[in-house]
Amino acid sequence: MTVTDAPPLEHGVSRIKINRIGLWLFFLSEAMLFAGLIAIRFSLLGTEVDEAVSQSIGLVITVILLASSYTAFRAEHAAHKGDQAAMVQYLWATLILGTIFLGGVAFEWYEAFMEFPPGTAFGTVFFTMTGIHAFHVITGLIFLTVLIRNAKAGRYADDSWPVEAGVKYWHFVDIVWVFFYPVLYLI
Amino acid sequence: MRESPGFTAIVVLSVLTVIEYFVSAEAVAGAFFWLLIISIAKAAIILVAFMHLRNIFGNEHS
Repeated sequence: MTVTDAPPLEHGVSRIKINRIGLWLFFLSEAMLFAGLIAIRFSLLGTEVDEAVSQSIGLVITVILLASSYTAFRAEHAAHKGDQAAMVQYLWATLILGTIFLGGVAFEWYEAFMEFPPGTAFGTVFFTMTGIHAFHVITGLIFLTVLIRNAKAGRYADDSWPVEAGVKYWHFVDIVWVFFYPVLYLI
Repeated sequence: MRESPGFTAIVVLSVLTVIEYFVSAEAVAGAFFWLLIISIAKAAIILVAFMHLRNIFGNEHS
């Protein structure tokens, strides 16, 4: 039995509805963590940004992460339509774009260690914020890898909820970066 | 030509990101305010177009 086919729970509430609400509550709790990090950034640094931070790298990796959200969306769309082949292709594209984003962050870290080491105020903020975000990207990449493996085995032919959940998590990580990018690179 | 789902959203997101970059690079007056507005707009686009925020309480596929 799949999540979508499961019989309604008490009061006619379906399993898929419960799953979705649970996922969004998880996002809400995570959002508080990231909002706290942004608050710490302004508390420590005001509205200043270290001039050594590479704005061009920031712009490029931001566009790459946004593009990965589009391919993730297409993967979910294909999953709901039952197009398994397209779903796997778009999941692969998302995985590759996410890995490139992570490579960009790693390169930025390499330069940042020399320009503003973790001991400085901006370095502390920069490495904490990008580090925690990168950890979420890595977990998203692991999730995508599991989805691809299972999709190839045909496990989502009748139940696309796991794909929907994984993709929504990826979008959430993207939204966090939408706020981190100006806070770390532009303001 | 039939447009693929989500294509408009990703184009608007990319354009907003480039605008964001230039607002900062050109030190536009009130840059902080404009960057905040653009970030909220981008998050809203992802929430509505990609994450189907309006379908949280629905049973159907998003």
